[in-house]
Amino acid sequence: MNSRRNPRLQRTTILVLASTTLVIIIHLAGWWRPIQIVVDGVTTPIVRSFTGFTRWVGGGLSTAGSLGTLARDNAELSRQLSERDAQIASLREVEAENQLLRTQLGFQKDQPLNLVGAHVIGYSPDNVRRNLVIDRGARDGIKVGQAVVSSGVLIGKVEHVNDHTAQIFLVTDPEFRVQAMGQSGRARGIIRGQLGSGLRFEQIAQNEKIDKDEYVISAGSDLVPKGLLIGRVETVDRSDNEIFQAASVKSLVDVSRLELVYVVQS
Amino acid sequence: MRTARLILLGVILGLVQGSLHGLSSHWVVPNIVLASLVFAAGRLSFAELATLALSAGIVLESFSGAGFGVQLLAVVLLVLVYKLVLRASTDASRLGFQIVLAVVSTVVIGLAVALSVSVAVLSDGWGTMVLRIGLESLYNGLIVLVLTGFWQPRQATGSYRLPAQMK
Repeated sequence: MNSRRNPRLQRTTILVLASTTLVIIIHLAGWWRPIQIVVDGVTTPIVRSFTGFTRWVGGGLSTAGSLGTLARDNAELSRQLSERDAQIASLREVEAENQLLRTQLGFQKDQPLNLVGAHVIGYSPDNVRRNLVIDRGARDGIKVGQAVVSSGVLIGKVEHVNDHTAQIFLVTDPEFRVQAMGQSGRARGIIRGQLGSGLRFEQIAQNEKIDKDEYVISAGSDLVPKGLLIGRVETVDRSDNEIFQAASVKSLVDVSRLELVYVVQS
Repeated sequence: MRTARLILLGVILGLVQGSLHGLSSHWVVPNIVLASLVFAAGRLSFAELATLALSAGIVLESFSGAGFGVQLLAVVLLVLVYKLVLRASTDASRLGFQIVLAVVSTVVIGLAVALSVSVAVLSDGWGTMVLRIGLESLYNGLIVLVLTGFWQPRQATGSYRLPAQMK
């Protein structure tokens, strides 16, 4: 009503909407790249400092919050460490035996993964999506679909690549999907992220075997190599009148504490 | 010079927002860009507010996992709505109204981002999404409350400057 009598307001409204539309059109047309290079060049060092600060504050708050449970956690971790030591000793024996058999049968040696290290410089600005921004991009050989790991655990996939930065969709993002399988029972299915930070192992055929505490690994698809650890099964949902069974999986990495991640290039 | 300062402020707000999940990726974090825009809506002219929103929106796009344009379009459209509401209502500058504006804006942006997720995922996790958007609305409302509470007593001092639209 008032805006009709105010040509300046009308002009500004049209200008603002035109600018916004222009930015989106430039992006859709693929001409955003030079602008993104400038934006990344200016903002990356600043946002890295901001992220370092928020991570430091978050770490302090988290430590303060867990002071009461530190003794109990310490005892539990010591017990788990002893168990793992025993398992490692047993696995070394199996590995040595496996190596001997491979040599005798003329198997090729497994190729080590080619990893590119990257710093986490930013996060999703909203509370629905779960993604990270890293300081490596197309110029470092990063490609869409490549797996991203931390401490040997799959934490996400590359979704968008700029020249100097890339966006990673975490395994906990609701749109994340990867083919996976149980490490012991070899049950195959699809891991997808859930709203609320959890993982869901779905589309597992009813005749497959999946158990609580079983590790889930990548089954190998596109640019995600086979055998990357994803998480551990917490609960299994099995119902006779369903076609598939499903399981809730917990990631083995706390994605909120990630500073350095590795992109798997081969 | 003032425009350059607003662009810089918008960029800094966008960068701070992009680093907030460094506190913990599990926590719900406030949208300080949105809260700042609501706070500034009655204090800056339309062109200034739009400059702030555009610069912050472009930076937010660098971090956002939703499709390109969602964050930018959302903040710019909200600025247009803020200004229309402020022109239409004499009560618009009141604190309660600003908090309602912050809450409604948070819900609108939350839903805009949620629309970038498939329907199947939304139907599974709508409870979590409602909780997260609700908490974010609460945080944003509190930020507006704190900013306004901090700002209002300063109006009585000699160094207070009239908002641009009242000059």
